[in-house]
Amino acid sequence: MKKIEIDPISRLEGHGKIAIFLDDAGDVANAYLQIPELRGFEQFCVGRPVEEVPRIVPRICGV
Amino acid sequence: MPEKFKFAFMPSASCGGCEIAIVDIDEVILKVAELADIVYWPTALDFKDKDLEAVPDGGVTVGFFNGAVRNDHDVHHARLMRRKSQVLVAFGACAHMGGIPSLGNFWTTEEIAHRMYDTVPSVVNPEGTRPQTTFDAPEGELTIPRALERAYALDQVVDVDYYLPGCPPQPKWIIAAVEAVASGELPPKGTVIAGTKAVCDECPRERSEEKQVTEFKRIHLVENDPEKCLLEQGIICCGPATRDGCEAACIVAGQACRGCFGPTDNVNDMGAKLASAIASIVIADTQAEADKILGNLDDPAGYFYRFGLAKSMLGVQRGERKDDE
Amino acid sequence: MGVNPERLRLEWVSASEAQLFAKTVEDFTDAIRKLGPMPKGVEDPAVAEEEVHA
Repeated sequence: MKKIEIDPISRLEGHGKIAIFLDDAGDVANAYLQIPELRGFEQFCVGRPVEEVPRIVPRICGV
Repeated sequence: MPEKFKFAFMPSASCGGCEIAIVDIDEVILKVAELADIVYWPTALDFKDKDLEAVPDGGVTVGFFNGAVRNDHDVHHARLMRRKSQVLVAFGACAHMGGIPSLGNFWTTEEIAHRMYDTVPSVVNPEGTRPQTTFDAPEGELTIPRALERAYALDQVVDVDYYLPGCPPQPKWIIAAVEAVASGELPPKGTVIAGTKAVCDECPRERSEEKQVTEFKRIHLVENDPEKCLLEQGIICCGPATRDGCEAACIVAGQACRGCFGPTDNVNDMGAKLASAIASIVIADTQAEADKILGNLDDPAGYFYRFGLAKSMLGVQRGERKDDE
Repeated sequence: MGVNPERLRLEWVSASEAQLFAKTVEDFTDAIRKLGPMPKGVEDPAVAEEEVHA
């Protein structure tokens, strides 16, 4: 099947990738949104003093 | 008419704050538009990698790379930006020294993934599904980048010409960098484009000659004197070892400095410098007293390496560690 | 941070305790020599692949 990839998804914060598969008729057979990033906020906030967390997590998205 | 410069902006493991900081330069953006064509900025416009690849090597006058290097695609982007740019700027704390994402370096990538996909309270994943770098979907193959074993700062991957520190960088220093490029009067290679002293020099609070701390306190548990130095009140502040230029923005807002502008010149390891600075202000008559005062520090590693863990001279160690949970 | 705790020492020594200072440093230097160099630390092969300078 033909695959169209949109990489990166633009005009937003963060990373995304879209894969669109077209069948022989040129219709969309399926489309996949992929998130190609990992930063780990869920882990590295563990053990931090609670009053520091509001100074760390805004860096998830600066927009 | 002189040929316009070419600028490129590459995001990596970032939050977008650096790119918003560019927009925060307000009307100076018009000067940037006059000065340069933007050949790559996917956060703002619909660019793809092929647009940057099509620029001849060295064809980008100044490349601004923001975000930490966290996966193998980021490594590719760092090398691509280095090849295409005459001048490469590590833009923002993440590119400068790893930033907040480099806090992940306290754990292995597998431990992080285990938390994200298996144990974090907000996830329901009984089959233990994990992202794969390649996946055979019924229609065809899907691929995503591989997360690296640790987060890196930009200069640990490619040669960097300048650093614009901060989380986020401040408009006045972004403007200073743009003006340096426009005038052709660039500072020596490797310059961190910000102040040259420590945050204490810009801090509006009163400092006495002697700092003598007998107890460390958490900022929200005390009624703190708004005029007096935070460290003197026993509140951890990274100001003494942090480069200035931010006009002590966090202190002005009533919070302690957390070191986002990185270390001052001639400091090899910011965390070590901070540990030493904090230890030196403790007043104690006996070893036992000193141990007690320092024992009250609840998260020294997190305070001293908040934004710069990737650049720690200790590297990313995998020794014995107690579980936090 | 995963560093062997024996590699960090905090001692309180007065400026007038020169002998204590010298001994503390000597003892610690010996201890570190016995421990040997710190392990290199985690690196990712993708970063080591090419030269840093493009």
